[in-house]
Amino acid sequence: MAERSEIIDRLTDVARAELGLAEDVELTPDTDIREVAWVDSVRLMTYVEAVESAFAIEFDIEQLSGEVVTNVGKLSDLVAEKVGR
Amino acid sequence: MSTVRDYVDSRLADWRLEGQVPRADWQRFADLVPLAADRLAVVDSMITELLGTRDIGLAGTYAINEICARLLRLTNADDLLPAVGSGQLRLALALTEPGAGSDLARLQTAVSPGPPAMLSGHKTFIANGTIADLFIVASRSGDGGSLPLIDLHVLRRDQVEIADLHGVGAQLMRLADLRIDEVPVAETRRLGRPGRGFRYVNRVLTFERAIVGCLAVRFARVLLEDLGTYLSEREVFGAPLIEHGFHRLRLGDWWAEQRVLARALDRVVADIDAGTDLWQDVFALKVRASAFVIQLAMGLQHVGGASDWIDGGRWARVVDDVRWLTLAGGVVEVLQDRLARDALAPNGPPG
Repeated sequence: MAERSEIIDRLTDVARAELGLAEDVELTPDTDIREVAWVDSVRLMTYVEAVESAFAIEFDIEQLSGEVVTNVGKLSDLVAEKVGR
Repeated sequence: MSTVRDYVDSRLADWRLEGQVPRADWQRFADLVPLAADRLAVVDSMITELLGTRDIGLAGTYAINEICARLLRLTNADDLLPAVGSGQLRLALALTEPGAGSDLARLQTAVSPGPPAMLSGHKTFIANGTIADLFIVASRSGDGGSLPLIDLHVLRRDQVEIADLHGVGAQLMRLADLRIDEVPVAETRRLGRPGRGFRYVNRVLTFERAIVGCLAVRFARVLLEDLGTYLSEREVFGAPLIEHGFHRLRLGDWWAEQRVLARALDRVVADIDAGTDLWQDVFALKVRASAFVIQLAMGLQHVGGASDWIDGGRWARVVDDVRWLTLAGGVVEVLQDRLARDALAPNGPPG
């Protein structure tokens, strides 16, 4: 199962590519992505799709909520759950 | 009739009187035109051909159908494509809602929990809405909070209430208002995965914005050709208007912009067909090309002056016909805002 730190590193790469996250900003489990990058609903969904592509996973609709997607720790846990299956 | 232009030229006057392409004629049109094309380059080529008629509404109604066919491909609804390709089915895409524009996060059209689950909502400014056999309707899916979880449902014409928005849109591509009143979801067809309509809509909007670019850039060329002819033939104070430096300079300026936009369009078309497109390029093309063709149409109306008015206002009608290009694919202001935010983001814009 992927380590949480590794997942967060990859989420950081995705956020840099999709959300313009600054090079000197590192994501932590407590990070709310909206506080470190320009995010609106469209970009949020684009970010979700990029995360799915980066990890070769597909989230179930029931698992997706704004709170899960914007909190790095919760999103990494969801990714770990998907990757570990 | 050996070509699509031969056929269209023979029928265009009747279509304009009727305000649409009749069903039987659309099926004849389908015999001559590769409908439901899988490459944007093919669509661009056909748009260029159709714009030879100087009727952007005709090209627009064709383009809307192609955009919807693209959405069927994206959602693996390939079983519908043969009927689209043969002209038996015409399509419309219903995204926009009163007060929400094309902001998918603010959709009100939704499915009631049921049982039975019912789809209800109100869509407006729907291109091809007066002629479509099938409507692809975007609805809110569940409660994703700030996430735009969207479903796409295919509804038949008899499942919606259609109102022609008279005078809105182009002559041959009128817009309509749709009311969806408790249509059982079981009697619709959902496209793609539940709640993932955003993905499909996002991809098809890229296609739509590029097509707006095709329509704007290719029509701009047609208008410039007509302007050159007019300036060469119309005499004022004993000389053709083209001999007056002001007109020649302005014509050169407009041709310069059309040329730059045409190169940008070629790049975007190739990138989209290769799957390597950048959203910033598509947005920029749509923003600039739609603004340019409207500016150009207004310029022609100004140049035409009283003679255009006396001749029936041909260029005044062109101005009306191109206005909708700023709306299709999302209003220009939204795209401008996103481009600016992207440019201001820490990593800056590409290129």
